[in-house]
This record gives sequence, structure tokens and C-alpha cells, in this order.
Amino acid sequence: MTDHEHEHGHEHGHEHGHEHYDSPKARRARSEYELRTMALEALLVERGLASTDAIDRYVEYVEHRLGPHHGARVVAHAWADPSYAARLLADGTAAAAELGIEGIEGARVRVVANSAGVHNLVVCTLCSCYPWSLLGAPPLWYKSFAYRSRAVAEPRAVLREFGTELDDEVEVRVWDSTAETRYLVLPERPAGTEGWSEDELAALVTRDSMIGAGMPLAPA
Amino acid sequence: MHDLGGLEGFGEVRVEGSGAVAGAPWELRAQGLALLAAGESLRPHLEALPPATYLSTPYFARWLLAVERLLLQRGSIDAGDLDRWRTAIAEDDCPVPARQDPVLVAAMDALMSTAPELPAAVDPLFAVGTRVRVLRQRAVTGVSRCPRYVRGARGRVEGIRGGEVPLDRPRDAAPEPVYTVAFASTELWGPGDEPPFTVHVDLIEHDLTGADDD
Repeated sequence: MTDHEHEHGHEHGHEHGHEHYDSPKARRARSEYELRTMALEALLVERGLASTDAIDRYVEYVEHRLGPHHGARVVAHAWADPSYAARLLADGTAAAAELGIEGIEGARVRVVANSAGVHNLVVCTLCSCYPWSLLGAPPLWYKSFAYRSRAVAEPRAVLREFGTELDDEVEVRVWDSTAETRYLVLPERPAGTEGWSEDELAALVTRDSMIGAGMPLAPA
Repeated sequence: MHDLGGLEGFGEVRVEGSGAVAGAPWELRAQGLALLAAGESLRPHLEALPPATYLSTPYFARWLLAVERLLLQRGSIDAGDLDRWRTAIAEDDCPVPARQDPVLVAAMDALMSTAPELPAAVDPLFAVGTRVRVLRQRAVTGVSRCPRYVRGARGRVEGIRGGEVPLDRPRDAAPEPVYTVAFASTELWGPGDEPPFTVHVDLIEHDLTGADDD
């Protein structure tokens, strides 16, 4: 049991229901959407179609269990072990499963590699398909109309907003996740990390670098 | 209105707070409720929102509207009950009732920690390297995974991804091969003001035709 679950389950209990939404002090500022969500939860709980703990569990997955730390572990392992990198690029689903990473949206994972001459960028123009099993829930910008409309039409302009400036000679490859395949970018291993452990390497791997919007951190 | 590739006017991508995955606490609860109660893909219901609603409704609220729409259509809930709860909560300060249910927790665990296996590609018509053209056809059901910005465009098959049952068919229909098709930016957008780049789109076989003679 995580600390978060412990705190929720035992210190506050569920008998009031308020702790799942904004505090009573903020009640006057409750948005129409929050009220409608509360009404839907109340009705579904009443009907037996939902339960407080099942929705708590969802929040726990998004906030704690899932996240880019899984993807970072895959990337660091690929940097440290060239034979794993080859397997990862050949079959992302199987290679992630080797590290025990499976689950939501992870049925068909494809990994595309950046190199000195190639930079990859992942988007979903139709909704916000994203490799949840490796990166968790997508950031708000990934779901924004601005990103979804522009990434396929002016990727370099979008990358500049992230502070990612590419030479003109670099080939940009954009991947629009329009079917069931979920894409992960394998960034280039930063220079100056020879002999680093996989944990040290993983700490350099940012979420945005695995979407292709950014680059890994430079070694300190 | 979900088909946004290439549209203009949405402004900057990187805005204050956009690195977070959610904002207010209700947002993830709405999404969790939607995933748990829907029992099927919500995508068709998200895509069926009227265009003006789609564009003026934030991401998590679209999930809320989509699952409300699905559950009302299905008859699992009725609008009067929903309204009764909304009033009780907003005006009478009624708390959301709490209930524990290990069966539903297990169902949520299954949703999050497993991924249903996808079918293989059976007898793909196009080999890797083949030039193809995207058919210009309207999705009669309103559900299509072929973005408008590639319709009519020519590209090259970069890979065969496996099989999928098209979203506008019954879930037990035969799967079709899915291809990753690479399009030159010049084919999609003309010369543009960025150096040429490539856009890869995953497309189902019935949206493609051979283009070797084009």
C-alpha cells in the first residue's frame, strides 16, 4: 500500500465524500463540470455501477503507479545495452514486457530512435493517443488543440516553443498515432555519460524527450 | 470536430501549467468514472460531440459529456436522476455517497494493468515500400481514423503494423491490415516555410489504394 492510499484510506475515511473534490470552502467556486461529475459519481455509486474505491484506484494509477519513470527505465536500459536497444526497436511491446512494463494502451508499442540526423515527434491529431504504459497520462499540452493541429504541419515551430532548436539538415519525422500503435521516442544518449549506471542515466530521461518535444537533460 | 491536423488559429502549445496531466480533482474522477462505467471505447462518443461543444469544452469535461451521453443512450441512468443529484449537491450541500466494491476495484485494476491483444495483419494487400494513395471518402458512420489532411495524398508504405477492426464495424468483424504510411510534407502542405519533413500516419487498408501508376 502506498503512503497516499494509506492516508486516504485511514486518516480521512470516505464517510464525507468531500475530500475527493475541492474543499467545502471552495464550494461557491465549483464549476458546472465539477458539480456534474459529483452528480454522476453519486448516481453511479447509488446504482452500483461505480464505487468510491474504484475511482480512487484510477486516480492512484494516474498520479502514482503510471508515469514516465517506466519509459525512462526502458530508455536507460537501451542506452546501456545495445542488444536490448535492437530488440526495443524491432518490437517495442515485447521489449517493454521484458522489463515488466505492460498494461493500458500498451498492446502495440513502437519505438522510434533519434540520431544525429533524425528527430522524431509523436502526436495524435484525432484525439490524444499516448503510450500510457510507458509514460502515464499525457500532459495537458499534448491534448491541446494547438499541439494536435500544428505538430503535423509545422513541427519545428512547435519544437521551438519547447526550446528545442534543430539544425536545418536534421530530418524531422512526425508520427500521428491514428490507429492502435503507441509511439515512444528513443532519444540519443547524452555525451559525457560513459560508465553511468542505468539509474543515473534514467534520471536524465525527461517525459518530453520520449515524446520528441524535448531532449534529455545534460549531465551535471 | 476531433480531426484537427493542420487547422489554424489555436495558438501556442506551451502555456502556463500545460506540463501537468490534470488540474482540478474532479477531472481525474470524471475520467475514472467514464472508463469504469462505459465498458466500451468512448472514442465514438467523444467524436460525436457537436463541433461547437467540442471546441469550447476542456479535455476532461469532454469525457464527462461523452460518458453521460453514452449512459443516457444506453438507459443505465436517466436525466432526471442526474439532475436530482446535481441539485442536491449544489443547493443542499449533499455529500457524494461513498461505497466500497472490491469487484469494481478489480475491474479498474484489469483496465489499467492489461491491454487486450490485437489481431495480426492477414494477407496485407500492400508491401512495405509500395506507393499508395489515400482514398477520398467520407466516413458514412461519422467514425473514421483517417485524418482529413491525408485524404487524396500519396505516400509510401513504411511498415505493416498488424490488424485492427475498423471502429465503424461491429467488434467481431474481421480485422483489416493497418499500415504506417509516410507522407512528404510537400505532398500535404506544399513548400511551406520549414525544411521538408515526413509525417507518418497509421491507416487501415480500406482507406488506401495503389498509386504506382499515379
